[in-house]
This record gives sequence, C-alpha cells and structure tokens, in this order.
Amino acid sequence: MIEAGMEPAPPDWPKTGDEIRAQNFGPFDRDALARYAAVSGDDNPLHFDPDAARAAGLAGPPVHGMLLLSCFEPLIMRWRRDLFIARLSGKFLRPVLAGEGIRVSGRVMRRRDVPRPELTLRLIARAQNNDLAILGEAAVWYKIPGPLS
Amino acid sequence: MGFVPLTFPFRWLAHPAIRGLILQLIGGQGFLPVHEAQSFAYEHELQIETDYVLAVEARRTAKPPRLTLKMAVSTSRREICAHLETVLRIVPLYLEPVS
Repeated sequence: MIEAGMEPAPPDWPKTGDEIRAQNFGPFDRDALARYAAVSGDDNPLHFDPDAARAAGLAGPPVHGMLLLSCFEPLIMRWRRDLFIARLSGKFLRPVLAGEGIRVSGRVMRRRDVPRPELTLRLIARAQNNDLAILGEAAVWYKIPGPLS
Repeated sequence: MGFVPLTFPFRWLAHPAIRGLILQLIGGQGFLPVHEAQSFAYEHELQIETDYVLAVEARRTAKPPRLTLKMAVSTSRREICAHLETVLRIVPLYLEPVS
C-alpha cells in the first residue's frame, strides 16, 4: 500500500486559486455507453432505451453519471502525478445525453501544508451547451510518485 | 502492473446480491434509479489481485423517493480502505398508454 502525504510539500506545490487546465472527454455515443455498461455492469435501461428515458422525463438516454465522474481522475493525474486522491465527490446536476461530450476543469480552493500537504479542489463538468453537469470536489494529498505513476 | 481506478468499487454494485437489494428497495421493475450524487473517500489505494470485503447499508426514504447506499471496503484483516456513498433518485416509469 502507498502511504501518502507524510512528506513535506514540494517547492512547486499548488497555491489556492491555481487552475487545472480544462480537458474534453467524449463525445459518448451509444457504442461508448454500451461498452461502459458491459464493463461496469450498469445496464439500467435509462441509458439505452429512449422510451425509458422519456418516461423518466429526459429528452433522450443520458450518459452514465459514473462514466462522467470518472473523468475527474485523469484530469487530476494529468495535472500532477504526485497526488493521491483521497476523496472525490460529485452531484449530477444536469443529464448529459448520449452523443454529447463534457469539458472538465478544476481549481484549487484550499491548500494545507500540515499535518500533510493537502489540496481541496473544486471540480466542474460542463455539457456541450456549457450547462453545469457535475459539481464536484476532491481532496488530494502529496505523494512521491513511483516509477510507474 | 497497473492501478485500480478510483471509481472502480462502483462496479461492485452490479454484484447480484447488491443488485437484487437495489431492485427490491426501489420498488421493482416499474421504477428506475437515477444517479444523483456519488462520493468516494479513501484511506488506502486498492490493489490489483487483492480480495476485499464490501459492507453495504441501504436506506430508503419516501419523500423525496431516494435510495442511499453507504458502502465500506476493507481488507480481509478488517482494515478500512474506502467508503462510498451512492444516492439514487427513484423515478416511476410513466409509460404512455397504447391507444
């Protein structure tokens, strides 16, 4: 197991207000949703059946929320490899419909140096029309990157 | 070598025992779960090729109709690795009658 966060912060440790450069993920077409359903086991008909989606009040089948939330991990780890993501949370505010993509970004909301170097990140995923799809938050700790990280 | 994606434990909701519990608590086939919120809190990273114990607590509320699942992932030595919380809104299927 990797024990993270007991080392002092490096000189380039981010500051409050620093931005995480936005990245695009998707678009997530029907084939992508079928593949995600196969590997995740989430075969809720909401994501495939237009009638079920309409019955739930949606204009069409939505992308799986977990597929969208999972985009924050590569966003953070491409930003810095020396992090352990200790907490990640998100609220799904607006459905992203099949065929659409998202643009994810982040900002450092708080920096703490003791008892361990830790950052609180505000994370945002926006749909194609710029609507806020996911409002998220993460807590990350500094860890010395391993040879494969 | 590799790593376990942060969100991977969500995959375990598809385990037949948990899936059956969810289906039962949302009210059966006439309802759909809609994902409203999700959180992960880690004490330790999960490792590939390692067995874990998953404990699940489910709470159903009527107003508004929601199912909240709280899960704890621990090692076989009872060391907690992660906590997850899944909030599902329960939506009835209003299918248009055939005329």
